[in-house]
Amino acid sequence: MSENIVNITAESWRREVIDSTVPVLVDFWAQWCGPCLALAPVVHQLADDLAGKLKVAKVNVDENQQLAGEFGIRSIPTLLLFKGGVVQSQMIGAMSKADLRRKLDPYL
Amino acid sequence: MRTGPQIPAPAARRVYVDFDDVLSETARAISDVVSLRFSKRVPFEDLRYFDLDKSFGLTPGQLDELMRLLHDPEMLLRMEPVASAASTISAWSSTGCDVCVVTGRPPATADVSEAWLKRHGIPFTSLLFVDKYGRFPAASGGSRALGLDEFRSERFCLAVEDSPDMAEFLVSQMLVPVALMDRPWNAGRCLDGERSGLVVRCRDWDDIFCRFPAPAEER
Repeated sequence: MSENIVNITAESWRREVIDSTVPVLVDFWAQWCGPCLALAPVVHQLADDLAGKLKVAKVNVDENQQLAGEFGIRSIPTLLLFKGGVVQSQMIGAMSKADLRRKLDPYL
Repeated sequence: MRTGPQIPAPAARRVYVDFDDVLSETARAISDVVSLRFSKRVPFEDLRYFDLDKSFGLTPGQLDELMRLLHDPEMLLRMEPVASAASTISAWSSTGCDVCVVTGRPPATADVSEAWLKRHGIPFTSLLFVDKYGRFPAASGGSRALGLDEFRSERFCLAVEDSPDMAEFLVSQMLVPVALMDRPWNAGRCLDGERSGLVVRCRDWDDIFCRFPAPAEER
């Protein structure tokens, strides 16, 4: 995994996401989800490309069911973009790096 | 809006069947229209989004025009049926299943949609127009589609859908098991219901029949 990605739990959520000084892209995923695994390299590349401008975080929905429920995550992969602790954008499903970058750019 | 004979059937044997891309090869027809009208060629396998504007890269104006073209009765009548849909549904009907076709098409297409079902030998008890994707204005006059809130109280023992959002709704809000027909626009995500077994991905209608030879509500 890219060193620019943090794994999030309910305990670290506030510190890593809500209180972050840069926008945070949170990837809700699971090991059994093929599209999540397909999206992972895209997310990892963006984490490296945008290091310092964007924090990338991953939430394993099986290990953090309460967090997933709190945000109404019913299909994965779901990406939520937070800025100032508030959800700015939601993206569902696997996508290309170019598509994801296009969706993120307005918030960076 | 509901058309067709109003024969109440036990929910235990009532099956929900979506129309476009479950019964009719709508996306393939759309792909041809977009190619001819807007010179945009997107292979079927690359239609990764349920929203047509996203999949085909259409402007709002192009999308409006496409919708007008698509809802032309001749265009709707020309659509090809999905392989084995008629034989599977006929088999279900012959065992006493009540087949309710539930579509997100505009209610104005009721006559042509019924004619298409009859032309292709698809038995159905009712044809229900539901505003699945919030496309229709609330007070459009005349016949109108059911809102999702109204639709929620309907009961089914099985639903056949291709839309991941609608599949999610059926599972989470109505507790209906869903046979999700494999389509490029639902391949890129996993639904929560897949883990619980309430959503079953199916390659095609033959696969659906193998898995659900006689749909019935579990008691």
